[in-house]
Amino acid sequence: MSAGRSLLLACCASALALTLACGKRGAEEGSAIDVETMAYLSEARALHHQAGIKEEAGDLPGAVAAMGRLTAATRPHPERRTAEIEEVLADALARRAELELRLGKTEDALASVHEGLTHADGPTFFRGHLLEVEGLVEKARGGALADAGRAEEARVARARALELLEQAVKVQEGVILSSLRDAGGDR
Amino acid sequence: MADHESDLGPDAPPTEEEQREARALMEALAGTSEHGDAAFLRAVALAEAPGELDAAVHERLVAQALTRAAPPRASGRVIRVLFGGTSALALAAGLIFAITSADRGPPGAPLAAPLAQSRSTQELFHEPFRGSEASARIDRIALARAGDLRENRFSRWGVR
Repeated sequence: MSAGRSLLLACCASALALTLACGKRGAEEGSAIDVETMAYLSEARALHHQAGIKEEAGDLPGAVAAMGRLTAATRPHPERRTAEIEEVLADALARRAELELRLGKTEDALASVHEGLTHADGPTFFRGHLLEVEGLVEKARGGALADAGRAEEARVARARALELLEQAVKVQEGVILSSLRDAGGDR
Repeated sequence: MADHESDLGPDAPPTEEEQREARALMEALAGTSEHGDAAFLRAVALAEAPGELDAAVHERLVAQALTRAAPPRASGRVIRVLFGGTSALALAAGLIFAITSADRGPPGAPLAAPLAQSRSTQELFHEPFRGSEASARIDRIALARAGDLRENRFSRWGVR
C-alpha cells in the first residue's frame, strides 16, 4: 500500500470515527426544544397579544398587521419542519383570516386560510380550525354574492361552505376520538 | 605593489612585480606550480567551455547520486505502519466515544434524562379551538415549551 493510500485510509477512518461519535448525540440534539425555537414561540406570543390589544381597541387592521408580522417572521431551523412552529403558523394564519373576514376582505381571508392549511396537513385541531374558518369565509362570500344578485355564484359558495364545515366537523371528531383512545390506553 | 603605482596611468607598461606575478600565474595554469588565483581561473574557464567528462567518472557520479536519492526501504514501512495504526486508533476512539457518550452526561454527572423533543402541541388541547382564544393558545404552547427547554438545560447540565 502506498503512503498516499495510507493517508486516504487514515482520513476516511477519522471521518467515520467523528461521524460515529457525533451522530448519536446529533440525533438527540437535532430536534430537541432549544433556545431558538423558544425565542420564536416567545415572539409569536408577543405578537398575538399585540393583536389582541389592537382587536379590543377596534383596530382590526392593526391586529391583521401584527399577525402578518408573525407569519413573515424569520423561522429557526429552516432545514427542517418543527412541529411547534408549523402549528403556531397555522393558528396565526387562521386568526389573520378571521380578522380579515371581519374586515370584509374575503379574498385575503381565503388566501390566509389556504396558506395556513399548508402548515397543518395532519388531522389536528389546527387543521380543523382552519377548515372551519374557511367554511365561514365561504359562507360570508355566499351572502355577499347573494346581496350582489349573483345567485348562482352564491349557491356554489354556500355549498362549498357546507362541505368545508362538514370536513371541519370530521377532523375535529377524529381528533377527539383519537384523544379519548389515547387516554383510555394510558389507564 | 609598487610605491609609484599611483603615478602610473592605465596604459603604462607593467612593473617588474606585475610581470613576476603574471609569470607565476601562467606557470600555475600550465600545471607546473601553485598559485592562489589559478583554481579560480580554471573554474571560470571550465564554466565557459566545459571539457569532455570521462565515461567512468560519469558512471560513478550517477551511481552515487541514485544511491543518495533512493529512500531506505525501512522508512516507507514505518510510514505505512504509522498511518495504519493511526487509522485503527481513530476508529476505535470514535466507536468508544459514540458508545459511551450515548448514555452519559457530563463527567461525574448522573445519567441524564432524554431531551424533550419538538412535537405537536395537540396534546395541550382537549377541545376544538374557538377564534377568540388564539392568544390563550399561544400562551399555553409557549409556557409548555419553556418548561421543556428548562428541563433540557438541566438534562444537559446533568441535573435531574
